[in-house]
Amino acid sequence: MSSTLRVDWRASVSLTGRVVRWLTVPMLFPLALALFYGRGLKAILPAIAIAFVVGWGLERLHSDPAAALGAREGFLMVALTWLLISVVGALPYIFEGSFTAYGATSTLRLPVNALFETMSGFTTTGSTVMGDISFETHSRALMMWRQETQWLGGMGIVVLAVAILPELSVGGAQLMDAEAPGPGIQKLTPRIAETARALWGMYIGLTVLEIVGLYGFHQLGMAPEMTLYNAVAHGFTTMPTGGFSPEARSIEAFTAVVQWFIIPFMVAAGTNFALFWHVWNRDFNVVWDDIEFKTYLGAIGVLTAITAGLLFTTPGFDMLTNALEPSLRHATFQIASIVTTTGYASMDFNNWGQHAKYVLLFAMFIGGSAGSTGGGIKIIRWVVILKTLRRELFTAVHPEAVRPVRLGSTVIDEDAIRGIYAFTLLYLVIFAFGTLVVLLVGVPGQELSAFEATSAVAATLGNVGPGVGIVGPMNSFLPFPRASKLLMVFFMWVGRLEIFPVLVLLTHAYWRS
Amino acid sequence: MSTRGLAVVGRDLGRILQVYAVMPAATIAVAFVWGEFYAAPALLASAALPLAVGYGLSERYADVTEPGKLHGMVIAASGWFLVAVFGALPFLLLAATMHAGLFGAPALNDTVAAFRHPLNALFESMSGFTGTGLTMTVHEDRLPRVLQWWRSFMEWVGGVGVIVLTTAILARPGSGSLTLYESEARSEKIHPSIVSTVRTIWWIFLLFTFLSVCVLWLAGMPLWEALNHAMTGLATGGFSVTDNSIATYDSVAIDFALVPIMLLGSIAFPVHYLALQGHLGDALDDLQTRWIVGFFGLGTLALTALLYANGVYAATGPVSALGVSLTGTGATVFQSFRYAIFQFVSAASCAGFQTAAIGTQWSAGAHLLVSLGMVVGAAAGSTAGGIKLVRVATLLKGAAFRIAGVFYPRSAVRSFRLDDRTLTSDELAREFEEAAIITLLWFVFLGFGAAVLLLTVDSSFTLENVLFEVASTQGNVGLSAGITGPEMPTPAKVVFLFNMWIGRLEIVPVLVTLRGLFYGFGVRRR
Repeated sequence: MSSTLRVDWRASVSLTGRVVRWLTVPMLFPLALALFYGRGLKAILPAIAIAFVVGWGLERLHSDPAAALGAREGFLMVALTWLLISVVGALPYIFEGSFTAYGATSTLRLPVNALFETMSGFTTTGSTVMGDISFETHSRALMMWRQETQWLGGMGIVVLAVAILPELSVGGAQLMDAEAPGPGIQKLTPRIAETARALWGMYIGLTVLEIVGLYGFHQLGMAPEMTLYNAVAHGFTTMPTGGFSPEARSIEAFTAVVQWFIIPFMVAAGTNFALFWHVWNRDFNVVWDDIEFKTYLGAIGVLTAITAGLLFTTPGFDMLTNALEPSLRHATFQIASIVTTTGYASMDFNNWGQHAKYVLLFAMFIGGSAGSTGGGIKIIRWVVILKTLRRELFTAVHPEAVRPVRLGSTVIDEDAIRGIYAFTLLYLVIFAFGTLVVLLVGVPGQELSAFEATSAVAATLGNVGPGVGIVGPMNSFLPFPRASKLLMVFFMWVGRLEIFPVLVLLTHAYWRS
Repeated sequence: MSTRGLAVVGRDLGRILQVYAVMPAATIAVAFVWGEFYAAPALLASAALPLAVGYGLSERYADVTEPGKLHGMVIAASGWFLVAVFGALPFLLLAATMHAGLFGAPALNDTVAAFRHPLNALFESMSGFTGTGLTMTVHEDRLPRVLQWWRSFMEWVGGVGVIVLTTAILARPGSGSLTLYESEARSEKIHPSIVSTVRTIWWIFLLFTFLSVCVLWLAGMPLWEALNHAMTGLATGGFSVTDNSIATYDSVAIDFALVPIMLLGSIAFPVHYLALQGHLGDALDDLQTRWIVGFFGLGTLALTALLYANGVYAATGPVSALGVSLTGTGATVFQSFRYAIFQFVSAASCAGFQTAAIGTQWSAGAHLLVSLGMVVGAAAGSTAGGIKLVRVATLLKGAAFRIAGVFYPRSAVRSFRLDDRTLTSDELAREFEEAAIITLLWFVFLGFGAAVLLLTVDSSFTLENVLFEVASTQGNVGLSAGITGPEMPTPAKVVFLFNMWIGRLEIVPVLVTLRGLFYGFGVRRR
């Protein structure tokens, strides 16, 4: 059989198994919490056991997978890894719903919901199907696992694997390329494993900084709700642009100081991490010259100004109308949250005026920077597209002219430009058809408007999190029928892997010669 | 473009206006046939003004050289706009005549009174010449016959215009346009290819119009209405002379008679040419024609299922067609199919005839499905609008080619088949990029139009209403969810004018022209 196949799938599956086996290590953290709080052990412990056995079993499929790892195997490994960790990561939710009395009413005891929640976690989407977000029906340990999936997914599971597994140091570049957000990866160091380690190092550093800051406000008495548990929980979901919160009211549950404090971390999370590397190395010029970074800040600034203006002037809204600081704070927070694809909410923006909500929908299509933890189409692609459109107007009149497209001082390869176009169009096509299907399937017993369906698909495909209306920030994706939920699981998956690694697997040429 | 280039543009615009002046002049005959003599002075003035301007322009720049393909874009974009501006004159002047009660004109009614506002008149004229069919006319049956004819005539001529545009002027590698004669695609001179194109297609167009009139008349439409609807149906324009578009007749026969007429208008005219020359096999081999069958078929099926599931036509009474009387579920299925096929073909062919109350009766899903048809459109080289099937085919096949090729080394030589042409990777890359740019721009301007509309129109219109209306405008379709009308806010009218214009010219020529207006036509870096 393997003689006709061009892919050594055993090697890919074996490596996937290794990642799954290693997943038991981060699961030790919720395990410790379960022991500490005395609740949730029945959920975490069996999941760890199964993950270890499954991972160990899959590893047996190949004796030396790293040596057999080519481009084809890499694509398969990355796509499979994200699917499989979501399946394994869903086990604690199912077990808590099935084995405990307090969790019996949890909506996540159903496998489809648990898979949705885990995929939403690892892909740092932040859309939830958890019906009752409280410590009554869910243990603190499980809630922390939910936060932790986002943190693990943020900088990339495969990047983490390349960073810590020495056998991947050779083929790692291709793996990271398939997983990394944005067109291509920037090598920060000559050796790919060092690049992976540097990325994770900066990621951990910023996360710790945020946790210390959040808990510091609590100690100073400026954030009574921000306990150590909450500080860690939100530290886990800000830097990966995740958006899960153990608080049902998301960031609305915290004081204005906390809301202001989280904004710069969301913005940092949507920035290309390579820039932090340059800052770390005192190479500031690179940052100022980076056109993507400038466009990113500009987009956030302009959209914030528009939104703040709309909130400030819309009459009849006690909290925001003619109130400068709240208008500015909620506008900045929400725009930063949506553009970076985090998905936190500082208030229920479902109550905003229609126009402000349209601005948020628009913002979902911008996305974070390449090399960040953000999702969506990504700023760099829009920059390249705008530049080629300007060139098109020139070459339409002067067809003989040859004008390369530049980003700063580097010329962009024509093939890369076409790749960007192919991606963006595929993204929009998947979005359009997805919206149509979700709308046609509908929601039982409820009227689903086009705006709601549009925002639900844009939010899952772009790994944003909440939408508007029935999928608003204080609501959940629970009402959707099973088919729509599975479709959205697919959207989150292809959205995180940026479509191609998944689509490639669907072609005949990939499997056979 | 230098000053010499501007002179070429000016001279050609002058020639276009001189030819255009024939249109209002010929319409005087209609005024005499229907005894609307009071309309003659207005039409005379509408003919004299462009004639004078055109004569002046072409005399002033009489000795400039022939234009190349590069001037073609600017001439096409500005020419379309200019003709639309002059095409507004009959509306404006006739409304003024009736208002003042000159020449024994009848009293002004509300419908015609809307055209006393120049923006409404311009909107109607642009909608006509771009073959859109969105209208500022509230009750079509209260218009003077002259204006009814003028609206149909604009769409009919605009239909010929767009075939010339896509087969002769914009035909460059990758634009997705078919050319009538391969040699002319390569020629640098633009005039000979236009002349031969017009010569070839005008008799096809006349023949089809004549056939369509006969079919509609046999289906039970009065002759005058059959003539107008045949003209606007074939041109996939969609103006109507009856108050409720085709819903007025509520006739199964007429619905099904119009479907093939709209289909004729959505197949590329070079293909018609081949078929009429007897090369039927070659015509059926055409990629776009096959895609039309598939796309229209699938869309109709999906829409039928959706309308049936939504129970839109559940409560209809017995229906009889071809002597068979249907009741109960049979009637519901039949009615769902009837409205689905008519509306989907009307949308995707970009005709825009309406039989259903889409805005109020249909679900959000049905709105978006029909919008999808309007955005995609039909064949390039026909009178249809939208992104066009050949681009969609290029994009889909190109993307698949690209995905399948991830593992080939850069140096590998691969070839690609599109239609019956074999392309190298480089050629495919160029065609793909062209198609991708147009498609992406299409989405960008759809978004722009939708944004303006959301900010200005009454908030009782939902997002699906707005997306539907903008897709209809930019795709030059003309179906309406109820937003377009004389009461529409001015910014919305202006943005619709723009959307119709760029939609018809496939965006790039308009952007090149606007860029030239703002930055000058000189060759400049950046």
